[in-house]
Amino acid sequence: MRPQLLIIPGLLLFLFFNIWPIVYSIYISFTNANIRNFPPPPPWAPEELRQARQPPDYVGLSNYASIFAGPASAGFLGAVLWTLIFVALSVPAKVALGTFVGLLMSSDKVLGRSLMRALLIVPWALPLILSVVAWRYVFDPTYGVVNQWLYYLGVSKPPDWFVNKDYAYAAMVVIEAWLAYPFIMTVVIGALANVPRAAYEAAYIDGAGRWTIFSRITLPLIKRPLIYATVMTTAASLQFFLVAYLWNFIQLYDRFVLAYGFYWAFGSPFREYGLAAAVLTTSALIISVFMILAIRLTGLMRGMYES
Amino acid sequence: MKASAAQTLAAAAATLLLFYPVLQIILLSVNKLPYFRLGGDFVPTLESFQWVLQQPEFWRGLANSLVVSLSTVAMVIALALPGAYAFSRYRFRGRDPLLSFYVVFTQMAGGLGIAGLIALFAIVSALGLRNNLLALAAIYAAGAVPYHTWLLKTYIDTIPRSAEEAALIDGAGVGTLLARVVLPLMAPALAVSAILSFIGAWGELILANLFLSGENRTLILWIYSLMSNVYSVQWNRFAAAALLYAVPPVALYVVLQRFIKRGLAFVY
Repeated sequence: MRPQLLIIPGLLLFLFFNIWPIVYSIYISFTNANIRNFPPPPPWAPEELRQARQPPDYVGLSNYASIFAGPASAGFLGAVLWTLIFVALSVPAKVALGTFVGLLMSSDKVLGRSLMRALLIVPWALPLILSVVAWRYVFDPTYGVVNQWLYYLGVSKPPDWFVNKDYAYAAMVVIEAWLAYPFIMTVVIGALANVPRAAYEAAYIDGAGRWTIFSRITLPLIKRPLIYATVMTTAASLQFFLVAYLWNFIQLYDRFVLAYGFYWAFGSPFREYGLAAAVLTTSALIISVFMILAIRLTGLMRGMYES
Repeated sequence: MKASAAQTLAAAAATLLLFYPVLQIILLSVNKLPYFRLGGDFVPTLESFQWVLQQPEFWRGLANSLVVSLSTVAMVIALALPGAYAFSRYRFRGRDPLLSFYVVFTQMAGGLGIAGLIALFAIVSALGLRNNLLALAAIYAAGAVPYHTWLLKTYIDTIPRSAEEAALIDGAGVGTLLARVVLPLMAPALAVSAILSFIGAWGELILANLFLSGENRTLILWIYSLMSNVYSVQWNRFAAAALLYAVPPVALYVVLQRFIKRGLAFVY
C-alpha cells in the first residue's frame, strides 16, 4: 500500500471544503453575482426556476475597479487603513501586556503565582462568545464598570461604546489585547521556564542591576519566542472579524477588511456577492503575503521537516 | 530569593483587573437583580439558571451542538490520523511542501475561511446540504484536517519505531499496524485532538448561522439570538445562559491542561 493513500481522504475533504471555495470565490470576484442570480438553485429545483435564475455573468475586473478606484473604493480602502491602524494599536498592546504579565508570573518573588496563572489564562479557555458577553457588560453604557468609573471621575456624559463608531473601535483594541495576552504570556513563561537559576544568581552576585539582568539574560532568552508570537498575533489582528461581528456589526463593518467583505455578501440587504468576493480575495492576498514574508524573515519554518 | 511585596502586589492587581470581566459576569448570573454594579446591591440566587434550564431552545440547541461537535471529533480523528501516520513514517514525493502548506494554512484558516465563505455558501446550497448538521460537521472537520494532521504527526514522531517494525516483520498490514500498535500508544494525543476539535466545533458561529435554521440551530446560535435582543432579555439571565453554554468547552480545557502538563507541550 502506498503511504500517500493515507493522506488522500483528509486532503480531499480539505480541498473540497476549503481550497475549492477559495478558488471558486476568486472566480466569483470576476462576476456580477448578486442576490438575483446567486447562489445557483440546487439540481432538483424545477426547470422554470433554473431558467429564471441564470448564472452570474463574467464582468472582468470591474469589481476590482470598483473597490480600488470606483464607488466602493472609499469604503474598502478605508477598511484597509483602519485594519492597519488596528494592527498598529492592538499588537503592541497585547505583546506589552502579555510580556509584562509573563515576566511577573515568571518571577520567584511573586507569591501565589499558580493561582494567578490559572486566573490569567482564563480568557484563552473561554469560548469567544462568552468573552464578548462579559465585555459587553463591562462597556454597557448604563451598568458597565467603565462608564461608572468615567462618571465618578467627572465625565458627566460617558460615551456609548456600541453606537459610537470610534468608541466601539477603541473597545475592539481593548478586547483584542485581553483575548490575546494569555498567548503571549504563555510563550514568555515557557521561554523563561528553563533558565538556570544560577545564571540570575551569578549576575546578582556580580552586582548587575535589574536592567542589566533584564537586557543581558531575560531578553535574549525570550526574544525568539516573542518574535514568533508577535508574528502569529499580528496575523490574528489582520484577520480580526468575529468580535466586531458580535459587538455592533453595523458600526464596525467598514473598519476591518474581512468584515467589509462579509457585509457586502451576508450583512447588507444588497448582497453583492461579486463585489464582496473581490474584497475578500484582496484581503486574503494581503494576509497571505504578510504570512509568507513573516515566515521568510523570521525563519519560522526552520526545523519543521525533521521527524 | 525572597518574596517581594511590590511585585506580588503588582501581579495581584494585574490579575484582578484582567479577571474582572469574567468575575463580574459570574456574579451577574447569580444576582437577583437583572444588573450588577460595583458596590451595588447583590442578592445571590440561582433563578437565572433555572430560567435557562426551562427554555426549550436551550435543550434543543444543546442536543444539536452535541451532535455537530461529536461528529466533528469522529471525522477529524478518522481523517487526520492516517495522514499523520504517513507524514511521520514515510518519505514520498510532495511530503514536505504539503506539510508546510498545512502549517501555513493553519495560521491563516480564519481569514481564508471567510474569503471562501461566499463560494462555500453556493457549494453547500447547490448540494442541498444547508440545514444539515452532519454536513456542517464535515465542513468543520475538513477545515481542521491540516492542524490535526500536523499535531498528530508531531506526536507520532516521538514514538519509537521498534514496535511497528516487529509487527511488520510478523506480516501485519498498515491497517492492523495503526489499530493494534500505534493507536494504543497515541491515546493522549488523540484525546488532545478530540478535545480541540470539539471546542472548535462547539464555538463556531458564522457557518452555523449561515447554514442552520429552525429546529437545527445549535446552542451558540441561541446565545447569539439572546445577544441581539439584549434589551428584551434580562442581563442576569443572559449571563447565566452564556455561562452554561461555556461549561463543556471550559471543562474540556481543564482536562487538556493535564495533558499539556504531562509533556504534550506542543499544543498552543
